[in-house]
This record gives sequence, structure tokens and C-alpha cells, in this order.
Amino acid sequence: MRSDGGARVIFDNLSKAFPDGTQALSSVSLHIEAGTFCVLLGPSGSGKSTLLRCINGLETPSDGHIYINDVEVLPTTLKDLRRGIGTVHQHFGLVNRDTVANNVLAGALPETSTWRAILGWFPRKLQERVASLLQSAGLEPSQLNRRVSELSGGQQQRVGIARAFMLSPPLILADEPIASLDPKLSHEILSLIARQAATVGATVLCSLHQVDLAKAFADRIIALDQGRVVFDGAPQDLTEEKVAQIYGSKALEHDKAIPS
Amino acid sequence: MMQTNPAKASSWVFRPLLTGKLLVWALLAILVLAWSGKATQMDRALALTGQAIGVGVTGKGDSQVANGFGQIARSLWPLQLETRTPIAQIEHFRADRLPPFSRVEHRKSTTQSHDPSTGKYVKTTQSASELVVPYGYVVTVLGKLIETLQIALWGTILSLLISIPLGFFGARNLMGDGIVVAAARTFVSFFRAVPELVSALFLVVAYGFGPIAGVIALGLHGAGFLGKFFADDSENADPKPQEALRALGANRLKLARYAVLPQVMPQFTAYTLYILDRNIRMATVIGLVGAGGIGQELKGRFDLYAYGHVATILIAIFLMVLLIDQLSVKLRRKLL
Repeated sequence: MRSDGGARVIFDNLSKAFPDGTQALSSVSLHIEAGTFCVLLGPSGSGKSTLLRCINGLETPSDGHIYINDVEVLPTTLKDLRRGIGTVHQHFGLVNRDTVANNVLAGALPETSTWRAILGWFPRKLQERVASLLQSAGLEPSQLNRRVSELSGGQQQRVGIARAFMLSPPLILADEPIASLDPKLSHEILSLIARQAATVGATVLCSLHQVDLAKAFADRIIALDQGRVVFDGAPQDLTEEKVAQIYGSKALEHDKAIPS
Repeated sequence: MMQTNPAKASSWVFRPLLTGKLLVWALLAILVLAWSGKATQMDRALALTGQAIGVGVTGKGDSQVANGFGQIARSLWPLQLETRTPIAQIEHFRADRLPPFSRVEHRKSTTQSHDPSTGKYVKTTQSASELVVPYGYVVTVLGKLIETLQIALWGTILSLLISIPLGFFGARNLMGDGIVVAAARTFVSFFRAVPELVSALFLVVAYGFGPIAGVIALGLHGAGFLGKFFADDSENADPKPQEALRALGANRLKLARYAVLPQVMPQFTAYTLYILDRNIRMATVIGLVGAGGIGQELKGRFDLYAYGHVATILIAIFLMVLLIDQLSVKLRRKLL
């Protein structure tokens, strides 16, 4: 549906301050090459989510610029840019009462006319796309018309991923996509995102809390702390000491005391 | 963590059951109730009712209330079930084709009149034939009941048609916080503020007696309720799917259809059923001001002192409401 290849994302001196005074991002400048699987690490409140939310316009930066393939993210360009961005959400962002089919079809809404959408009359081509995405995500044909609430957490996130890839976007944003899943499922879900992204060569920006998974999947790891980039490099360069620095020694001890 | 807490359990202070503030509020409430109870003659109501019960139990004494109820009961009986139509008024009457169980009665009626030329009273005897249908009035009432149900149904459909766009424009999660939301919510409040009985009074003047005024009156008032419920429910819906679809680039209508509607459908259905239920009961009431249905029939008979007819109508309404209640419980269970 879309030409193959990923999007290049450039953050130029990006800052975001919330009205309550929180400085979520301070002067973040990054250059993310097309087709990279890029993992964002950092403690809660470090600005990972805000960075991702600035890309698809869910937050407006207080200062700085973001460019996707040389097009700046602005209120005027946002509508077109959003068609090329697939988002995977922490809490899946699915309508639990609606069917799996409708939730995935919703991913094609920007390419569907409003009247067709309201009547729920999607073209055969889009229906086939839904089927093939769900199949490669490992869902059963019998689950197509089930309510999302009847699925397990892992299956729900598979539906969320299928929705994100509906229009084969060149850029995928995943905001802690595995936060509520067990380690085995987490691995499977990240594999699914990586595999789907590879089919179109899409760029992936994925925030995570698990350092081991970040190392396993990332081409590049960027760590944030209090809105600043504190690490940027290849997975093999992320040493134990660096991890301890990112999360602070206290946080690390806390994690050891309470096994998750 | 528990063992490291230095405070003793006995030092935790719970909020007391009675506070000075609560006592002040209670005193205020008692004063307001005493004052308003006097204004609504609650003391007199208690005395009159007590007296009536006393008369009812002992059979002695006199009570205004008991007499009033007795008079009503006596005038309502017997129920009017049959219809009598003078055959002269029936077009193409055929004696061999009467409705089932019907009969023709010939009645001789004598009238006395004063003849001005002779200055004497003259008795004239007239013979009139009437078609008597023993269940005729029941059929009439049933027809009016069906009309009432139809008014309620179309009133509900009208309120849905009005309230769906109003609910959409009145929802801040879909329309932002601006003039559109304020305007939509003002309309909705206005519709809700005008009771259907009042708007029916005016609509009867505009559209004439009959069901049109009833349907519009119920439709507008119902829209006032549904518009508010729809908008509020939409605002209370889980924001996560809405954000997900907004990030995708879906417009407001698509957002409403795919992120909000599937979430709020059960509440929407429940409210619509409630409005339908309410409209069926209100449709009988607004008939009293001439807006069609069984209420109009009731008012007409009541004004003619035809209490036998009134009794039949009241029993019919009672049975209908009972039946609808049973049905709506079943429908609710099926749909929700």
C-alpha cells in the first residue's frame, strides 16, 4: 500500500515542559536512520513516552523541531504524517467491547472515506489485509469476530500490532508495548514487531524497561534520564555500569529486592 | 516495609462518627423540612388520612376523604363495555351482517313537549333502533391504546434523531471545549427543562388536536434527556482507544464511530429503552391536553361525566403499563 522503506526521524533541540512545571524533555537532538530498530530506555518519568508522543502529535513540543523524512511535524502536516505512523500502545488502546476485526480495520480509517467508515463497509482488499496481518500475528480465524475483551493480554497486543501495521507505515512507535506481559510473551511480541517492521523496512522507536530485551532486539539504544540523552550507542556498548548509571544505583537495588 | 514503620497502631486516628459540622447541617435540614411541611399542609394530610382510616375501620363517623373516595368508586361502577349506535347513523347498515355477538335493540322513548299552538303538553313516542355491540367500547379503547403506543414509539424515534447529533456535538472528548459544545448543551438543557405536558399544550395549538403534537412533545423532551446522557457517556468512555485512533489520523466522526460508540452502546440502549418506557406512560398523560391517544379519550369522557367509560380506560391503562413493564424487563435482559 505504501512504498517500502523506513522513515528517517530527526529531533532537533527538542524540549517539552508541562504546565505543572515538569521538564519532560530538555534539548534532545537525535538523528535516527531509516530502518533502525531503536530502543528507548530510562526510568519512569525520564521522558520516553513524551518523546514518542511528540512524534505523532499527541503532545506539542515547547521548543525545537521534529522532522520525519524531512517533513516537519506541525499541526498543518500532522494529518498526512499520521498516516505514515503506526503506534503500538502500552495499554493496547483497543475497544474491548468491539470485535477483533473492527479494531484492526480501524487502522485503515485514514484511508477510508468517512461514510464508508460509518457504515462499516470496508473494501475487500482491506479485509484481506486484516486477515493476513492477524494470521502472521498468530491469531485464529475463529477469533476474528470475537470481542477483544475475550482475548488474553498477549493476544490483545497482537491485535494492537496488526492495527498499527494496517497501512504498512514507514515508522512504528511502540510505547512500552510489553509493560503488562510476562517475559515469554514479551519476547514474542517484540519479535512480532521486529518481524512486521522488517517486511517493509520500517523504522521502529520502542520504549522498554527491560535492558536484556533491549539488547536482544535493538540496533541502537538511546537512554533518557530526566529528559536528557544519557546514552546513545550500539547494544554491545551498554555495559552494566552504564545501566546502573541510567537507572541510578538505588533503583537497581530496589529491582533486585523485589523480583518482577 | 511494615516492620520498619515507627508509628504505633494505636496512634492512628479515625474520623469521628458525629461532628459539629454534621449537627449543624442536621439542624438546618430539620428547619427546612418543618417550614416546607407546613407550606405543603403535611400536618393536615396526616390528620385527614388518619380520620379516613378511622372511619374505614370502625364504620362510624364522617370523613371528607372517605366520602370522596366512596363517591368516585360509586360513579366508576359499572364499567362501560358496550357501545350503542343508532342505526340511522350507520351508513349501509345490514341487519344480516352484524358484528359477532351483537344485537339490534328497539327502544321506544317518550318525550314530552309543549305545543305552543294548543298550550298543552304533548307526549310523542319515538321508536329508535340501536346496534348494541357488547364489547364495542373495549375495542375503541384498545385502538386508542395502540395509538398511544405508536405515539410513544415515534416520540422515541424523534428524540433519537435529535439527540444523536446533539450528543455528538455536546461531547467535549469529540468536539473540544468550545462554542459548539456550549451551544449543543444549552439546546439539550432547554429541551429537558420544558415538560412535555407544557410543550404539548402549545403544540396542540400549532398542529391541532391529535397525535402529531404528542409525538413532537415527547420527542423534544426525550431528546433533552438522551442528548445529555449520550454526551456524558461519550466523555466518560475509556480515552485510550480514542487516543490510539487520534494518533492514527482518524477524524471526529470516525473516532465517534470506532472508539466511542462500541464502548457506550450498552448505556445508549439502556437509556433509549428507559425513554421508550417513560414515553409510553407520558403519552397517556399528554393526551389529556389533546395530544392524541388514550389520554385524549379519557379527558373527553371525563368532561362528559361518563365515569363508566373512564373506569374502563383506567383499567386498560393499568393493564398496559403492567404488560409493558414485564416486556421491558425481558427486552433489557436480551439486549444488555
